[in-house]
Amino acid sequence: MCGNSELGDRQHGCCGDSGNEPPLVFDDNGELVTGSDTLGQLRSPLLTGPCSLATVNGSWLLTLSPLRGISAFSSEIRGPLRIQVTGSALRASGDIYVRRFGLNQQLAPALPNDLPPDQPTDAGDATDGQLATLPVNGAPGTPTYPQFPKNQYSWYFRSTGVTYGNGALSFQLIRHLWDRTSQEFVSQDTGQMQLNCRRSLLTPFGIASMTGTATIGGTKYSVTATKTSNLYRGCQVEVDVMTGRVFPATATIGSGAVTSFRQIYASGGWDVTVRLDELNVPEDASLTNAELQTLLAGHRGPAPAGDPWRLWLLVGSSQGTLFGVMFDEDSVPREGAVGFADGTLGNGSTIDPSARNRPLDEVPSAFLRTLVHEAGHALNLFHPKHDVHAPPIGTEIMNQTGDVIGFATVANPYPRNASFAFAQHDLDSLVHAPDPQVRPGWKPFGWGHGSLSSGLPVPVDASGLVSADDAEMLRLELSLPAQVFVGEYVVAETVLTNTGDIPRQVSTRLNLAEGDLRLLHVLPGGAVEQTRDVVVACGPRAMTTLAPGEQLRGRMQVLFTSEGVTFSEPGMHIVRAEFDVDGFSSVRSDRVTVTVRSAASSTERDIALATLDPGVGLAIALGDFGANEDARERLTTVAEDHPEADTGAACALVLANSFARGHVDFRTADTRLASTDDAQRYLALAAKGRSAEQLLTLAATVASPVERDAPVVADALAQVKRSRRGKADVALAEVIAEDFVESSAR
Amino acid sequence: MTHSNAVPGIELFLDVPAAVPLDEVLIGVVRVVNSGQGTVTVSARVNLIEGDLTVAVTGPDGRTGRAGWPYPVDSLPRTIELGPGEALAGSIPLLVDDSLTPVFPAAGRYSLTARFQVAPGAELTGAAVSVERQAGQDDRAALALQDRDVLQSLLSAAEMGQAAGSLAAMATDGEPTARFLSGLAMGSTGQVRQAAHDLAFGAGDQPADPLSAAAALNAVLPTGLYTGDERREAVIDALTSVTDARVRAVLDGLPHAW
Repeated sequence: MCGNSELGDRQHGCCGDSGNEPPLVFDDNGELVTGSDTLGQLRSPLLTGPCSLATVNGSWLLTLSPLRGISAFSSEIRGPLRIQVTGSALRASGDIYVRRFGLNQQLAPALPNDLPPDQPTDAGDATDGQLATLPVNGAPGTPTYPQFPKNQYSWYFRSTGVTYGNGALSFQLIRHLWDRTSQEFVSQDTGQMQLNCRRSLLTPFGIASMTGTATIGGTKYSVTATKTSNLYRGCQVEVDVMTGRVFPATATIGSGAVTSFRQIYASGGWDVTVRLDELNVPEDASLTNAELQTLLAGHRGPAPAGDPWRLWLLVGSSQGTLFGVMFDEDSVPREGAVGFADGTLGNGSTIDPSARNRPLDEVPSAFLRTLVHEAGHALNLFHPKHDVHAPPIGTEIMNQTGDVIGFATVANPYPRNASFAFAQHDLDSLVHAPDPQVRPGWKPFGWGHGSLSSGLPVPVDASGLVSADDAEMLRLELSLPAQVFVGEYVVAETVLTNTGDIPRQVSTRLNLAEGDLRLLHVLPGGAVEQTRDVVVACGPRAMTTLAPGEQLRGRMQVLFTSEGVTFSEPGMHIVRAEFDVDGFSSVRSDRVTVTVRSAASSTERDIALATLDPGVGLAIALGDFGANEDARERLTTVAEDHPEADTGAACALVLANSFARGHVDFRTADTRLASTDDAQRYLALAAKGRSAEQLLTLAATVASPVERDAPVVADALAQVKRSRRGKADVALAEVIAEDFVESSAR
Repeated sequence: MTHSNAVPGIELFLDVPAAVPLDEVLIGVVRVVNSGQGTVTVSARVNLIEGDLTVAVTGPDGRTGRAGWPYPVDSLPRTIELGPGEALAGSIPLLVDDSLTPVFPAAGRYSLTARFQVAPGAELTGAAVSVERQAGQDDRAALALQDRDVLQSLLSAAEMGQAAGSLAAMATDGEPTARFLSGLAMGSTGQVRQAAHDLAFGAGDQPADPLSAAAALNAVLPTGLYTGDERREAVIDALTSVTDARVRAVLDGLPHAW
């Protein structure tokens, strides 16, 4: 890294660059190819001068604004830019997060998460000191790191060749576009960026900024960048300690130097604030992964405001003879790791005599190494011997202790032989890998050590692949059954909640048939589908006011949709709902996993045999078999043979809806007459053994949302009112029927 | 059997059943054999957990994966001396790669090749073996064995996430090894002992298979790493009367003739 004394500009503003000198040129790998003789030279005394390389080096908040006419929508396009200057290399990478809002709905600015200085601690001086307290090289005295919500993530870029001269930073870049549904990079394109960095020679201690332009994916932008730190990334680490164990706040390493968790990460470009929190996690002599997961859930402090990057580290007892493990592989992975204080170093001749057979927490340097190592896994770093890039095995941090000991000798025993630094391969990953790869709680362990997804570039603008951003103060929840069999009738329910404190105007079209709601469906093989109704109606968007705390609810069948049979493929399906709230902002639900299995029992196979027929599927989607006699027969078979199954009841209700009204096939002039008796018979079949709420849920979902007057809903409601059912049950049924006719906020 | 960059005289073998349904857990037995004339020091970390052992998996569609362990760990080296003709045996759960992705996603014939770092800088490669993964009779169990929570539970020998229902079902009605590992994940010491006894000595129409019991236990709680673990001790206790030398070899992690 560019050191302050080596390339700094606190006195004269600049070094490594002069208006009269040729530019420094760096290749695809960030290596200097020309102009290296200019390093270290001083500038002419001007009122302003180009920034030094030391000023350019570090973390920046990058903001892009399209250079084109005002549109109906505004966006915030911003994110971290990391510019890394080493002795003879310069490279840049960044991650862009996009938030949209309408002109008439200016949102409060979303500031990047500040990484605060180390928190006050109840553990005396165990916390590391701050790395920076005074403005240095254009960075603020208290560094910050641009960190934004994951659901705004849009793209990642990295330089493919950089020049820097006379304060002008210019680089070509490759952009990788992110798909928020599949949570993968799905395509890439290219661009270029030019930034100008000049600093006042009269007040050289201010915070550095750069302005310039970028052309990315064929669109031009104005660009501003404000320096936030001389390091590249930041993360809060909360350390909890089991009773009787010790966290190694500092350790003396082989060179005789004293180091700490924070200093080791600083050498890797990360500003890690360590907060020693609990010192008395209850004793448990042996910890399973399940117990560790429970400790993570129970002892980690609440998320700070702004959802900054954070990691939980436990100083625990033991798990077998392991020294540590990154155990967190749940749905929000890589947020927890543990070092086992009770693990003991062996008594081999290559173990330092003072460390032999000692518990790990009595050998601070060894234990510190393990804790830094496990935290590295939480940042998605691999053991070199398991890394698909096959970096060399050595003595650096991410090598297993066992491998480091392999390099130890009697004269240079472990842990003295250990290198308390990250290998170059890991440094590159820590500084330049995309946020989803390194941020704890995002992509699972193991992601990102192959190549990024390839494919043809998609010409999109800097907003990324989505047309609208998540609305604030609204929550969308999607409910689907956890498991279904292929061919089963499936009901999805969506609930939109105003979680803010002001009323919101929202669309009432919380169904798949009117264009505002869609399901984003990831199939077991990874393919992504957008799911809507088989018929999508056009018309004015009906709006309603959703008061704080109020909800809007929608119910729909998803057996047969624009995809055909939605869940036709056995395996794990991931579904999330996206709702266009008002034409310029959208809200997304959490992902819901649906496990789809083959029909197993004879009943299930009977049902699937009928419902997988496209004619039957279409009849269920439309709530009417029309003139399709084959579909009618299949529906009848399922309804009469399996009315106890919801799929059988749904088929019965399709028949009831169909027979309650006539139908004319205008192609053939064939007419189907209404049959009240048949309608009532099938309605009764569906009603048998079901609560009023269950019956209306099925009736309101077999009827097409665009047929507000579908008879089956009104008939079903009348039926349950006539029958002896509890008042509360009937009241729930009435709500469902009302919502079908017109969604109301409640 | 082949090796590359290996210690002379040391060979690596991976033994797997010829066919295993997808609703059953596949356990492999790995042997490091000294076929040479002299005593050789080898790594004793014959397990997936510590990362010295991996198994390349090539599926019926030609796709390749690498069976491994999803939790990266830090640990000490452990070595053992193998005399001429002796073997060190370990067992491994062949379920997922190091990202918890199942390595047997569908029925078909798979080719498996084990690699083991037998000493620093020396890697053994075993001969490729094949296993037929057949469609199982229990779709729910087969699906459960693709579920992250269930997989984590089986590998961790502890109930994780939302796996309780699937584990309970497999512990009752599952195939023998799946039943044993499910019981190990969710069970009390007594339940674990009973499940091990059933697997080792047979129960109902299930034949006696003590080696499978030892291998399944050692696959998730290997000797050397988890020696003394009470769950492990309960199973070993249940297998006390087994005289098969291979079972002892797997359980005690010491050199044996195989």
